Amino acid sequence: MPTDQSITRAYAPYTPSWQRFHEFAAPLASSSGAGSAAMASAASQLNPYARQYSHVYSARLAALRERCLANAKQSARDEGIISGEDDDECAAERIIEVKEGVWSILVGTIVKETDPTRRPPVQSKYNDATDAQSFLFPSSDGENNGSQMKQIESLRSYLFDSEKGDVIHLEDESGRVELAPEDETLDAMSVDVDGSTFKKSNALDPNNLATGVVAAVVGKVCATKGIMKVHSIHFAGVPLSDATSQDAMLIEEEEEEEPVLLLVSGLGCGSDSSTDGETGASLALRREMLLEYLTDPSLSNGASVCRVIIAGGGVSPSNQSAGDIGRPGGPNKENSKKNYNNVAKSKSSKPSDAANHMAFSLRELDLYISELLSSGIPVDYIPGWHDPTNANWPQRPLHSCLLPLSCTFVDLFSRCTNPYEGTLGVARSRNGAKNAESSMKVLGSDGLSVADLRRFLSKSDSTKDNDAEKNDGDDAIVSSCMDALHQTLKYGHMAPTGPDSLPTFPSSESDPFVLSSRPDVYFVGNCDRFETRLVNVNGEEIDESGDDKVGTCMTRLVCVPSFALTGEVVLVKLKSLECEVVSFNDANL
Amino acid sequence: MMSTSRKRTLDDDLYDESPKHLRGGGGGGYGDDGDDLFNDDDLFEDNLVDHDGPPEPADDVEEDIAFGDITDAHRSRWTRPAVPSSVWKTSENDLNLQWLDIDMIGGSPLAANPNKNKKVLGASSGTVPIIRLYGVNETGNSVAVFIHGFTAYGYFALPRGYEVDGSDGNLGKIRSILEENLRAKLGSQFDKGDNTSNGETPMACLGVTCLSNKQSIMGYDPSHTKFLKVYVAMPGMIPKLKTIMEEGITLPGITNANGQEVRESMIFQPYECNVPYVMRYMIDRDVTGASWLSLPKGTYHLRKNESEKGTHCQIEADICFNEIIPRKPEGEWAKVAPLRILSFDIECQGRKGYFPEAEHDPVIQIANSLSVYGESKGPIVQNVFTLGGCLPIVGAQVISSNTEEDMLLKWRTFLHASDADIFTGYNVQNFDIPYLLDRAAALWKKKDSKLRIFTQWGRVKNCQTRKRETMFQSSAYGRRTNTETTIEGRVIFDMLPYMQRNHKLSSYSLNSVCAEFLSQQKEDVHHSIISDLQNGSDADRHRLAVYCLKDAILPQRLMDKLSVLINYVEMARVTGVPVSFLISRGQQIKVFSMILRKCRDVNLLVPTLKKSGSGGDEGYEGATVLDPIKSYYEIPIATLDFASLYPSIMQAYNLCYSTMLSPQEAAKTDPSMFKRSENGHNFVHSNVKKGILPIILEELLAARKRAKKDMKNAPTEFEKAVQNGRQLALKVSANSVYGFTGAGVGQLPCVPIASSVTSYGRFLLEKTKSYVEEHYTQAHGYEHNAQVVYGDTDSVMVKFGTKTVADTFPLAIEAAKKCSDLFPNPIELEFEKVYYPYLLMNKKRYAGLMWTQIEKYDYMDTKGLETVRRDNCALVREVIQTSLDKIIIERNVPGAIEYVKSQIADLLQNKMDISRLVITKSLNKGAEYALGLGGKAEDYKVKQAHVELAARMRKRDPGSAPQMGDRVPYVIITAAKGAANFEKAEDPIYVLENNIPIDSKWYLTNQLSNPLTRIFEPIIDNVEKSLLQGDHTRKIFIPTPTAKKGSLMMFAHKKATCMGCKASIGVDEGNLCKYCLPKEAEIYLGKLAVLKEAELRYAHLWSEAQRIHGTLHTDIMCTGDGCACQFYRRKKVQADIRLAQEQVDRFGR
Repeated sequence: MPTDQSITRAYAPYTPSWQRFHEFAAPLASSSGAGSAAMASAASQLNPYARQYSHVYSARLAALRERCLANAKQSARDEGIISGEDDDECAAERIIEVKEGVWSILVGTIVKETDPTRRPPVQSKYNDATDAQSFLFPSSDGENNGSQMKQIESLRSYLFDSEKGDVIHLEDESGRVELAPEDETLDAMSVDVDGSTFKKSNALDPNNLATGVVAAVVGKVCATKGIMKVHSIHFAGVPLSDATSQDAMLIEEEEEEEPVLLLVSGLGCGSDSSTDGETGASLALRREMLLEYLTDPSLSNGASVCRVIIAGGGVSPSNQSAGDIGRPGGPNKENSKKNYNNVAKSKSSKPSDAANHMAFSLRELDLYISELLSSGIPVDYIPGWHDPTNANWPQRPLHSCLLPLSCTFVDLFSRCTNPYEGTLGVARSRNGAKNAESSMKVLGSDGLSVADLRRFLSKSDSTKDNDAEKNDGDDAIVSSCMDALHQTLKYGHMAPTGPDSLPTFPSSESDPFVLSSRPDVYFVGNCDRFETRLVNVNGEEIDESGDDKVGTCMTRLVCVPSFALTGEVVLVKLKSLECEVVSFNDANL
Repeated sequence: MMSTSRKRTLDDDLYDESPKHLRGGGGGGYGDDGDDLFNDDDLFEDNLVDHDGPPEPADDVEEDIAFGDITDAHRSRWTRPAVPSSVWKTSENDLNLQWLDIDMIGGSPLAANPNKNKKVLGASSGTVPIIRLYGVNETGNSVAVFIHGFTAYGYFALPRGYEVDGSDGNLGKIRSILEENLRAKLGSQFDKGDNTSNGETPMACLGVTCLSNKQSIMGYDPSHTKFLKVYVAMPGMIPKLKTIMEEGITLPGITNANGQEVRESMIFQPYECNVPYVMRYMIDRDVTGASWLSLPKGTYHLRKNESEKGTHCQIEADICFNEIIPRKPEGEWAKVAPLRILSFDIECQGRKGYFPEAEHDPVIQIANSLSVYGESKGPIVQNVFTLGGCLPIVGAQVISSNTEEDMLLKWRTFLHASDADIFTGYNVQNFDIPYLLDRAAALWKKKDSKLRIFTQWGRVKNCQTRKRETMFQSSAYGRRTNTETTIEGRVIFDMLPYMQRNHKLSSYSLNSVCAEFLSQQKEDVHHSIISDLQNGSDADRHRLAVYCLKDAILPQRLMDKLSVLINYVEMARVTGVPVSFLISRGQQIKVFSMILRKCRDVNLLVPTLKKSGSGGDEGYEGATVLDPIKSYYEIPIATLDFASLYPSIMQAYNLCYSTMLSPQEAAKTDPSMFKRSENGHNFVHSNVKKGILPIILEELLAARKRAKKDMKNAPTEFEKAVQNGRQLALKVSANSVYGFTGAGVGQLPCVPIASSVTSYGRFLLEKTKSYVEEHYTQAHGYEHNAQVVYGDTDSVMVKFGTKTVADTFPLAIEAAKKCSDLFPNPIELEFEKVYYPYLLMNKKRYAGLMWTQIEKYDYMDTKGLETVRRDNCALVREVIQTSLDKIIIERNVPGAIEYVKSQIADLLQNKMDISRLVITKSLNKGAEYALGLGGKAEDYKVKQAHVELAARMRKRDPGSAPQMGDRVPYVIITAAKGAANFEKAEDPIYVLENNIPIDSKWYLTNQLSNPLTRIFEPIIDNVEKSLLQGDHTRKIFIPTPTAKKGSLMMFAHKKATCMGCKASIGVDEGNLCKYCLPKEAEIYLGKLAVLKEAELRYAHLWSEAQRIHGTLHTDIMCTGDGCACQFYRRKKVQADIRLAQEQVDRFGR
């Protein structure tokens, strides 16, 4: 590639903070090699996997409890259910201490309990990784012949259905209490047209809940059956980040080029097939186009890109045909996961085509990233589900031996954990000359957490999401990626379904996925299409065309589409948080 | 107070007929194969020598102690509904009740008959027996009825040809002779208690009558037709009287066949002297078990004052025995009263290493669940009594106490207030109840005299609950010790023995039983943890309480789900015995009751036979089994069944005690009047004299047909359950009649009948076979020659040669009909099902896919296979089950073979999940010796693998080692050649942690080999060679054990090796040799895949276990015996993941 050295690339100082995840991904204890018997027993003491998952939930509840409680109290006071003085009284410290028949606030972890008969049984076969897979992603039955309908059907059967005897519990260390709607008019409420929006979003709607979510519940326990009649539900939300970034948002109009963050996922290196089913453009060609876009300033404004984040899916999932990859929809994504695992499985016994394929894909990826790096753009690589790293969240960074070329760019290339977190400094000039710097917190993942959560959140009909019309039919029952992502922000937790259905590391002291401060950019990769949303402090969506965004502290939510699927990347302007999608396919050039 | 005070004075006196004897029986126990004894003779004799129980406490005991934290709100939920005022108007309303329990006491006779128009019946002085009957009326009030005036009696036959002078004078003489003899026999015992107020000398023998309208049941032409009926004062005297009559006695007025008076001593054969007194009453008054009774208005008296009452029942009535109207369980009276059922469970705090002993270990919690029959909303009360504080439980009452004594007394208060009719639970009979009693006794001895009243659980005031050990031996169940407890007026219905008797399961733990029938799991809290929880905080005790409560609720759910109660009620109604008899006794009493009832109708009497010492049963030939033609049939095999074969044989050939002819008699009798059975016994035709047994059977089967019809027409599910219970009870009863005649040590064994039945059975089976094979031939125009491939007892399997199920049905239906026509009524051959395909392995060992309709198969039916046996490891069960599924359902024999081969390969290559190889056995009696806990050496003769392992584990770590009563899981590991099995057993956890190699060869040869050979023998040749040996067994893998003290690995020196090629490398050379270094990425990926798989498995298993146990926030403590939460796999993945992580981490970052 001819590179003109004279171009000036936009720059943003970068402070990584994803390392906090790394402690969980590669625990220290296991670094002791296989030693003597004494050593081994010492290691087993420290082996984090000797723990159970209960600590994860405890840590999560501890971290989110106060925030949920505060929200619930506020709301209850606003509604006049409780008065200021007695709100401490009605907030029970533990679930079993709840008093019967009076207004009370309980905080705990939501458990959506589905009928065990509708739950796939535990496979008794050992050494078969697919059993865990098939459970985690039930839509993946039937390898390639699983039709969309079948997948939707299996999803539907997995969804919560109180008529089939499913119940929602709230749990803490002391026990559980069953939750039920305040009255029988839940269905009627969702039909109500006006005035019900507030109520509806807070009432016990199973479509807003998933196992593992921490919530505060306002309601009364009825004495005879011991069931909590829920008046409203409150989540933790995300607290404000440090004050500095707040006033920095008061941006003056400046013509200076704004540094831009480029988000891409699903590069799909190593894909055998040359053409994409939908557009006819070769995936390899698209990648070249992206490379050119970034490195050749004569073509476009690529020079404003100050950093590239690759959010998972760098290598194509095994020897699947591109036609399969090209199929839209979340379930499809999961379909391919299984195949990867088949690769993993067969590899463990004997090197096979799949192993060769992986090696080939990695070489291609390595080459591609190193080319990016050689043009001076910093690249952050977040591993994804298909990438060669471990399975439990947080996932480890790719090993250096897998990307030997890229790793030579020590300063520019960082192999990150999944999820990812970092802070980008944005230079601002205020009042003319004075230079100030504010930081933008970027948080994101490869998208598995949201994909998993989506399976538990079915879309209710009356969402204001316009996409519902576009997307009627097949996957309409599943909430969109954006809804799920937005929901995680409200929960105050990145991956609430772990460890229940998302494979997660059994951390004990703290839960790394708790959102303890508000990110400025929050993204997930490997989505089926591009979506974005701007969200204010209260976690509510902002109309981007309006003027009200000025002066508020906002979060940019981005669903990064799979590049292999759509040929699209996302640009986020770091000052204004404006967001645009760039598409690479034949039509554009 | 009349009856109780009277009773107390009698307590020192040996005539007291305590209710215990009623239920106790000698060896009455479980057993449906007829080999159990119920020695009613012994039972009565017992009464006169056995002085039972602790003395009654003094009167000064306050009834209920008030406890601050038992509030009125509590009580109001506990107590029964109030008695409606209409009940008290005895002259206007009938009192109706469904009774459940019955017993008898000695008391003084009634002063006046409550029915003013009649006079008092029975003896008017001395001690008279009073029957107490406990039940519930329609409004759910508890009722006790005192039934007066029924006198015990026995029959004694005059030898053939002798007559007796039946004049009053002569009978009076006989009476006084008997009186004298009885008194002599009873000795001083009788006089001692003789201090009745009126100064009259009470009589022992109350009267004698002479009967000539009765006959003995034995024989067509019975030898006994003249009887003396002798009434005695108390039922306990009957055995004495019987001895007197059997030993020989001289009675006046007896004349021989020639009309000469006999002067010398004569032997009188006793008749119906072994009938328990209460049953005597029930039979004579036509009262059946658990049925409704009506006390007509004006005939009864209600005891209104508390001081008058002898029981805790809400209503107490006195009545003369002949006034009560028994209701037939039909129409309106088929209903079931709102019975109260209390299910409970206790937890005790055992010491480490010992099974809890009442002497030392406190009871810490008692959980209860009280429900009312017919109320669908679930239990009306759930509560837990805890020792020490406990956080509240949503939906249940938590009642905490500071001392154990307090807790026990509070529980007793609850017991009284709730006034349950039925106690249930899981193993309450042999654990919870005796433990509570023993514990109270232990505490009482130490200090707290208040606890003397704790054990008053029954309905009778001031009456202690008593227990006694009974030994029970049966060929089917082995020797077991049972504890029998008497709680007056309440029935103990333990679900554990019920499950053991009625369902064949691999495990009877409450957990696995509930998983099976309720698809519900409970968390298994190991008892070592219980102690820690109790010593912990209120929250810990809360957790324990929740667990304990679940243990109390589950047996009740099980009871509901299996309609246990309704089935037993129906069985009691059909057979006429009290419900408690059904629970604590065998099958015989039911048949005996039916025979006695029937005989009474037709004026026959049943002799009381002397027990033939050694059982005396000369064996007879049993059922026949046609030689199976072993094969795998891929064409339909039709099964023709004789419906209720043995009952219908008895009916068809009129086999009965009363129709039997001795060979001598037969020689003299007209041959057209009788038929000689297949093995040479003679029975008269039914038109000559209809037998009792055929009549009973006819009625039972007719009733069953009606019940089945009613079941079909039942409007509600509940009604359906009632009728289903009824028809099942009828079926079981009909089938037990044959067993009754064949039981060697039974009440009325009759080998000629039993052996005739089986010989007819054999005859019918052979005849069917020959007919089918002769008739369904190509010569007769059928497409194929039919062949009987197998036959057993009452069914034949016919291969008609047809290729489809649809073709087979018409042939089979026709064959069944034609055969039925050959046989006398009501023997009927029925066509029920077709097996297709059918795998016939051996006698009583087969599997097949069952079709009862042409369109779709029903399920796979297997007989005699290892799928449920528990002493095999799960691998065997799974392999057998899966192979059969593949062979029978999928009809994929190659697939089955491939599957078996892959399993064997996995086993040999150490890929098998260890949980599938675990064998569990429990530490039972005898193991104490091996564990060094005392016990006797002779109890432990043969070294058992699991006991030896437990002893070894105890040496390793006494804290975590299995304790008495625990189930010990183990696997077989490789050991020195020739090591005995018990040396090779090892704790699975230990094996996982130390990577010890499993002896896969042992599993192959000792576990898999035999069952596999059995299954595949009919299908492939040389199973041994092709399945158990061969290519797939060549590749084996034996892991290197982790170094541990004392093992050979201690001496091995560990060297750093290359992770790629295992070549040894220097310590500082990293993880790969120079040749493998270029392949680093590839090798890394390989190790990573292992880690990834292990991580996923970890995530899956542990989150699934959380779901199963319904907890996210607390650690799972389940140790997994019989639980679906995959304990060993969870343990294994923890070890796996550590190893995989170490491997990956060696590569650095």
